Amino acid sequence: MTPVTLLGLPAGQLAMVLGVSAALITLLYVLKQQRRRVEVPFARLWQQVLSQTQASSFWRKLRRWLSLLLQLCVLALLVAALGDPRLGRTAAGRSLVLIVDASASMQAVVAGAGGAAGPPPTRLALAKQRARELIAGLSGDDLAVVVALDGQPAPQGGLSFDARELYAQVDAVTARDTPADLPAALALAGALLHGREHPTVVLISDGGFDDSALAAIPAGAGPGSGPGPGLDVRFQPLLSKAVKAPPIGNAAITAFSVRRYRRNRLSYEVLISLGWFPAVGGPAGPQRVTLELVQEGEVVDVQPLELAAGVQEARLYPNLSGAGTHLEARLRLSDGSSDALALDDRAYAVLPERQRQRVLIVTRGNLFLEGALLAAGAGEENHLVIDKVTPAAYTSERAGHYDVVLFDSFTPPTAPDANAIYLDPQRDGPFDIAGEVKRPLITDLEASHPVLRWVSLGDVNMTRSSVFRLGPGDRALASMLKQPLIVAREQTGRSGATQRSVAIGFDLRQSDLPLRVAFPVLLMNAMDWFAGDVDADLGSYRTGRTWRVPLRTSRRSGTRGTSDAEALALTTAQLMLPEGEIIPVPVHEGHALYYGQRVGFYSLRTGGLAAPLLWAANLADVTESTAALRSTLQLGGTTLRPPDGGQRALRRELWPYLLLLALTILALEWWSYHRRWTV
Amino acid sequence: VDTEATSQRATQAGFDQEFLKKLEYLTIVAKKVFAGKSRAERRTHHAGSGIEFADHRDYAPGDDLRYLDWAVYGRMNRLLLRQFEQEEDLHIYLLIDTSTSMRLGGASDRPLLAPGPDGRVAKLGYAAQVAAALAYVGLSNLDRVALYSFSDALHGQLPSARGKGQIFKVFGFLADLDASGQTDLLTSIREFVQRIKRRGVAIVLSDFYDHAGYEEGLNLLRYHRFEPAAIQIVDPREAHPTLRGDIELIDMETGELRQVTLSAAMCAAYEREHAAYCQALSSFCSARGIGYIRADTNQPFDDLVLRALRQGGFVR
Repeated sequence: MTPVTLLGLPAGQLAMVLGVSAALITLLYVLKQQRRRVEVPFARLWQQVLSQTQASSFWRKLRRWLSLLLQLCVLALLVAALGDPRLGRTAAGRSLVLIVDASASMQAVVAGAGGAAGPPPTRLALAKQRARELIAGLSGDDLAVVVALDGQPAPQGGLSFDARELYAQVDAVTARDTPADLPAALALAGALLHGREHPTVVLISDGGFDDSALAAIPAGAGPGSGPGPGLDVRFQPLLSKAVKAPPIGNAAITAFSVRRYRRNRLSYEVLISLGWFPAVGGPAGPQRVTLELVQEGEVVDVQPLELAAGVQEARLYPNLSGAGTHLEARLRLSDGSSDALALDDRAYAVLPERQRQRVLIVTRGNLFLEGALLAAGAGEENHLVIDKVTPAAYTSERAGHYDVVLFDSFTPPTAPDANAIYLDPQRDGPFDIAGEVKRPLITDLEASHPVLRWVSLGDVNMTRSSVFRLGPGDRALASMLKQPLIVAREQTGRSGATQRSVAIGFDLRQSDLPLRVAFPVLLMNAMDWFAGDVDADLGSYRTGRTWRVPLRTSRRSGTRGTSDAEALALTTAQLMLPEGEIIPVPVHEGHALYYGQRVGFYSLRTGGLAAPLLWAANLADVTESTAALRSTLQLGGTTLRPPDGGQRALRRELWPYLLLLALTILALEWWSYHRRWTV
Repeated sequence: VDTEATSQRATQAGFDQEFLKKLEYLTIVAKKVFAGKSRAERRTHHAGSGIEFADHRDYAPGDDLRYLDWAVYGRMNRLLLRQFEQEEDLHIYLLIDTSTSMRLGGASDRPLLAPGPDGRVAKLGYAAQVAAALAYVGLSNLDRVALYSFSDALHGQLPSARGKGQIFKVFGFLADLDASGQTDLLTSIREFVQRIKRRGVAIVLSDFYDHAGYEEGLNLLRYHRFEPAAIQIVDPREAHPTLRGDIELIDMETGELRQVTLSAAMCAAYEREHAAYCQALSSFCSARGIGYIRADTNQPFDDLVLRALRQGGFVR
């Protein structure tokens, strides 16, 4: 026998409601009814009528109690309906997970699928239609749930028999600008169906997955701690019948990056990767496109291009300059038609902020140093502004006006309130000197430190060098047998901002370091390190990933960054999404965390940021941009079968039937009352 | 002062100039309608001091010798006494039922003749209108008209009067009628016949809802050589009730309670019962030569009066 479970009020409460209500109804029946009084001129005539029509009092009482019984039956049915009783499942019932693909490629339109009138539908709309058809065909015993497949697959509700609830789950699926993570979706489906009867997964998708990823997934089972061998995976193609209209290909921007020149940070170059992916069955020739580069809404470059089919082409746009930080690339077909997926026709990037650094050199004269700084980017049109003073003219007040102070064979008694480079520092300076070594050899290098990027110091020669004693915040960049010769220091300055300094223990003039390429690179790295992680790729992120946006872009004068201490103390920040919505995002260890789902420009504000932190997000996924539309799908080398339809059966919910029965009894009662059968 | 007060009360009750005009018009119409049908003029059978010879009878000792017909004695040698037909005024007695059941359709705050929201007057008001009309016709014919009200006994009376000028007294009497008490036709009529020695037409205006029965009372009038006539006042609401559902019925006269749940079928059964009751009264009257008219209160009273006059037996 099919078991019945209560999903509404529990049985105890139902019994209480029934008892109280039944007592009230019975009381109303027992109580003497207040009748309407009517004066009649001659009651004897009525007596004769009543004596003819009224039967025995016993039968009258019986009918009265029959009426009460009917009322109690109606009450019992209504109370039972409140309990929302459900028939249990039979052994034939399936447990289904409907995976509806909501990845970026599902935003592509399908020509000819929407009929003659109206715009062509998107693949997601077709997928939802297929899902609704599947739900409509489920049998009463089938239990189902809808999972949205994007970068982070998630169920849209709980497992349910209720078609309306499942329709609502389908409606809740929205397209994301992210790639699809099919293995994660299958793993989720396996977890949802674990231990259930007849577990079935129906994948409703365009089939736009990476072939190698598909081959890696074993057929009949999810990956990892998957569902086991019993999981039945089916594939529902989007098009149930062939369409007459020719399929549309897709032109895409598959990569878009921008960077400022290291030598001159006022100029930048753009690298853009383009691709033309003709549809299967469509024309396979090259495609003429037009690429526009837009900076702050102004078109700065337009180029007609011809893209070969299936080939990605990279284009470099060097020596670009201009005000503004928002950069956008727009791609359109030259013939004015639309391609399949509009999402990847635009790409976004944020230019790293242009930063000038004021540098003060305290020296008695050092051509090596000045020459290296020129190579590193000094000059009127460059980002380094250099002043030079002699040690005698140096004051700490003056040093406070500069971003970087470079001490050449001179050491002030107190460290300046600025980032600093000490060349051959003297004793009694900020760096503690433990001793001196003759003709040292550099044996250990901290190559991961930003100051030593692309720098080779292994064979540098010098006649002598001071050996430093490491203090708090010090890191030895170059050492000879654990004796630090070059030290980087990071500490909180007097103004509260982070101060960084680098000490090189030898005189340039007693070394061959100035003659090497490494020297200007070392200086540039040090300058960059002082200015913050300007080389970090803040300009553009990819969707479908969790972004860790650093808030520790500190520098002394801090126009944009916040100090390390402040960044570490933050727990939340306000993120403005491309569509303009502002949401709070968590901050962990100085990084704002957010799972990127939309392409476009993002803007982050925290309490410590004077100006918002900007970046852009792009799809940058060739698999999604390929926008393949498959009618069959292979998983682990096995072609997936289409799903089976279910047998229509009685709905699992019983309350509509209970209400219907109660209404029927009420109608009978009403009818019999007006026929004077039950009064 | 009394006359003025009476006139004022009558006007308030609805017996105003308009009503009087209607009665006058009714009288004229009645005379036109019944012109040439005056064979029904009434004369008493009493021999007396009239001038028209009627008959002879044998002389009996003690008779007035002046009326002996000596010519007959000369021819036939028999002592016969000449009898003359004596003309008398016709006496019309209007007996109006003022029991509580006659209150049906009325309201205490409404004048007697004022119609209710449904356009109908109370049964007592209707009876008063009919009585006023009959009285006016009678007074116009120089008959003697007397009015009596009764319920469980005779309550009020307006002594015999003659001439149109007396109609205001009639109005005053009718305006003072008030429905109360239980119907006891036998007691009331017994009191009436004991009190009234002059025979005449006795018209009973009542609903005839007498728990003891109406037969004995009407028969009593016959036994005492009155010419009885019955006008049954019926309110259509009591003849065709539209009551439904759970109801407590109260008898207006006895106060008896009865709880019933009425259906359309039961109301139909009641209608049949009521029709049978009216039919029984009609049959009773026709079998005994008693004039009978059923007066529904939704029918204009002047139509009813004309119908009564046409039917005969009421007034001439």
